[in-house]
Amino acid sequence: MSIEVENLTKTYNIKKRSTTDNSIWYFRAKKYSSMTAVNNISFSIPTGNIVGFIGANGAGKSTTIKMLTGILTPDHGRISINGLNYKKHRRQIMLKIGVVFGQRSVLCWDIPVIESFKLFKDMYRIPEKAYKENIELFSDILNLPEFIYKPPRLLSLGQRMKADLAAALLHNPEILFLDEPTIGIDVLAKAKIRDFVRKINQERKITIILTTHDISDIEALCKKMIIIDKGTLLYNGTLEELKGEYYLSHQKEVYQNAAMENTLETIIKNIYEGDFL
Amino acid sequence: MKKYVDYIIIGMKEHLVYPSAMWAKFFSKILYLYLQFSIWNALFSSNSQINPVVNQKDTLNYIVIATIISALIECNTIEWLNAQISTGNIAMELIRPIDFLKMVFSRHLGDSVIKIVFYCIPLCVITVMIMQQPILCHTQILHGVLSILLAYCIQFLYSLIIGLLAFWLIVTWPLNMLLGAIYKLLSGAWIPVTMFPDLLYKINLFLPFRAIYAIPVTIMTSQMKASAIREAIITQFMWMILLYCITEIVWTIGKRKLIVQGG
Amino acid sequence: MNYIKLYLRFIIIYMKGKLEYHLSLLLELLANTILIGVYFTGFYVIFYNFNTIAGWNKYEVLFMFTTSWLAYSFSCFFFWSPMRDIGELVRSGKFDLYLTRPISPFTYLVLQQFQYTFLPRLFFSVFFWIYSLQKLSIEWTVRKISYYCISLLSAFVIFSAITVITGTISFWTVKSEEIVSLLTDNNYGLKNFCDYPIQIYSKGMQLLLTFIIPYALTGYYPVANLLGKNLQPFWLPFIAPIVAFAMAVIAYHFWNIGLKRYGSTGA
Repeated sequence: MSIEVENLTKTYNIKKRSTTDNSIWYFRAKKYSSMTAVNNISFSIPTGNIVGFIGANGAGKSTTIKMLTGILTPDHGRISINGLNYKKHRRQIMLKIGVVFGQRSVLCWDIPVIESFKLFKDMYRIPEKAYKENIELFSDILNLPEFIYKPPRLLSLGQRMKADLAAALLHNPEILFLDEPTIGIDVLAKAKIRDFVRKINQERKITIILTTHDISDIEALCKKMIIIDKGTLLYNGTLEELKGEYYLSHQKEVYQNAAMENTLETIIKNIYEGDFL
Repeated sequence: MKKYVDYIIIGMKEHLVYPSAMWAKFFSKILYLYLQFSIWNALFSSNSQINPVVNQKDTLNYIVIATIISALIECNTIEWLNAQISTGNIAMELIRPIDFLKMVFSRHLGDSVIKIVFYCIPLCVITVMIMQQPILCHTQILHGVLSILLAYCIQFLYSLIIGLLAFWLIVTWPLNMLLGAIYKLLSGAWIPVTMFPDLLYKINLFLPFRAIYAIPVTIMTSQMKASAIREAIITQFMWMILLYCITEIVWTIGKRKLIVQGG
Repeated sequence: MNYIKLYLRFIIIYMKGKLEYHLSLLLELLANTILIGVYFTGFYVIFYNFNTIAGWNKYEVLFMFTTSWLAYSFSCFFFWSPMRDIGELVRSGKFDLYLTRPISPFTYLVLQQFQYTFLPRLFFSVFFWIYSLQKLSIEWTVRKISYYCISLLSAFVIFSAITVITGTISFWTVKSEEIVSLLTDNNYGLKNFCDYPIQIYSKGMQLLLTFIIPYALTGYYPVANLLGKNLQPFWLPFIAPIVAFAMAVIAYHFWNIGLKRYGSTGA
């Protein structure tokens, strides 16, 4: 499935209340100021791509993701997922996307993971055959049998993330949103998760949108990346192009600073410092 | 001493954080007062032929005073302690160079100051305006105040004990709910204890609940013999000492559990 | 059909989670039993001292409030816990997860829980309801039975609508518990007012309980009508279905406004 986004804009109204005002009359003291979290962003993601979303905290990255997953409604602009939009075809889209939030597990805390899987099987009306196939496939790569019969509260962070990933993919979604999937996870588990994401993408042609603070995730997985800063789109293109552009505009400095490694990390660091454009 | 004064101020401020919640609470107090007044008024006026153990005026006064002082005596220490213990924050509190239980009491004291100013006094003003008749028993008012203070301490110690039980329980609300229900009935805040059937009345004599509402409210509202007042206050005093001892024991054991198991 | 299957799956999950701490589960049931038991004890104590209230004897009052409680228990069984939890879900941002599912967040919230804690209340209500019915001699005709059933259904809808409306407030305010308990709290809230015949309150309060927060329609009016009490004006006992329908529409729209608000501001 492809995603198309046009002129996406989102403004928040922030209630301003002085923190020292404890008076009973605080109801009256309402002042609003608006903050544009996402400002006129357009891009498109073709089927089967893995796209990385990069941006500092508060850059508008998570607002964008929330709009793409239908959690927030945009003020202006259009999001179309294979020609469908959230206003009219919400249910249809939800059946076709999978969402993983790194910090919020969808699994039931106190009961074995497998029970949650069965729940999703019923919720998404996954046919028995497809369910079994998927469980088998995921078991191979993610070592599901190791922990699937334990409740999430007894699992390590890495295992919980693997379980969440599997849960999001059970219904064969065509788009997968991964929000900070590797946060706080050890290196080995991280590698496993990356391998899995790459494999799923290749075998099933799933479109994957990934946000992360870990640059190595992006380097390992994404061909294309979208950089958002202060609510606007800074860059949308492939990694190689980004590196190339960076060389052109920074040639002198690079030669002068031979020691400086031209990794993605430094490029992005410079972008944030306003060096890029 | 100064650090405890600081905690009193913290207690006051914490109560003031959500003014909308305060308004809601104030209205619910007025509503409840009105509910109780209407029910008891209706009960007496539609049963004029029978002779209940207490007369209409005394009962109405009792109900009104009980509702007003409930605004002061009520104590959120149970929930607060439960939260401190189950989140493990209590370990942080224990590191500080203060006595934890005194600190909790200081907070509660601050909370109570706000409750007196924002709930009790307005409620008193409203009832005086509406009832337009003396509801307090003037000759016993000093004893009444002493009795309320004792009731206040008993309620606090009771809450402390129940709150500390969170050291041993995973989920605390069922116990709070269970005790809350028993408390509501037996303390006499809802129905005057003199109206209880014999068996219930006798059981209640051996429980601390009536020392919290029934005793002080009766002293405040109805004429009593000096010896009866003395007896009532001594009863309260005994309960206070007993509960204090239990608090110390529970706290000592609970603290040890915390240190051994690390929360 | 699929929803029933899904609900069963949810119940299994919910109860398995609860059974992990079976001692707490027992304590919860016990606590609720005692809570309701104490209420009935208090009722007993009041009518141990008095015979009637506003011309109603104790069996009539008992029949009245068990009728209301029956509807209330069923309503809470489905809606109380979801609506109580919304505030916390919005605060923690977990509500996001409910929005990315192929079933509506409301359905999800209702299906995912199983409030066995209301079973003791339901049990007590049914028990004393039957008891009061035996003591009263109402001549049941088809017309009366159907009237009573419609009234119960309306009461269920009214309670549910009020619960949903109060729950939806959580989309706007950070701390709505107190406001909610002002209306629905079992000990001190407005709901308590409908446990007694509403003639004992002032005219203003009667109007409030009839038209604005129509708790009186859940027990008082239908039962008064069945018992042949004189009600003025005569049409009052018959408005419950209309009011219930109106409340349901309001609750539905209010909930959608709340959802929209979440969609435009987030947590």
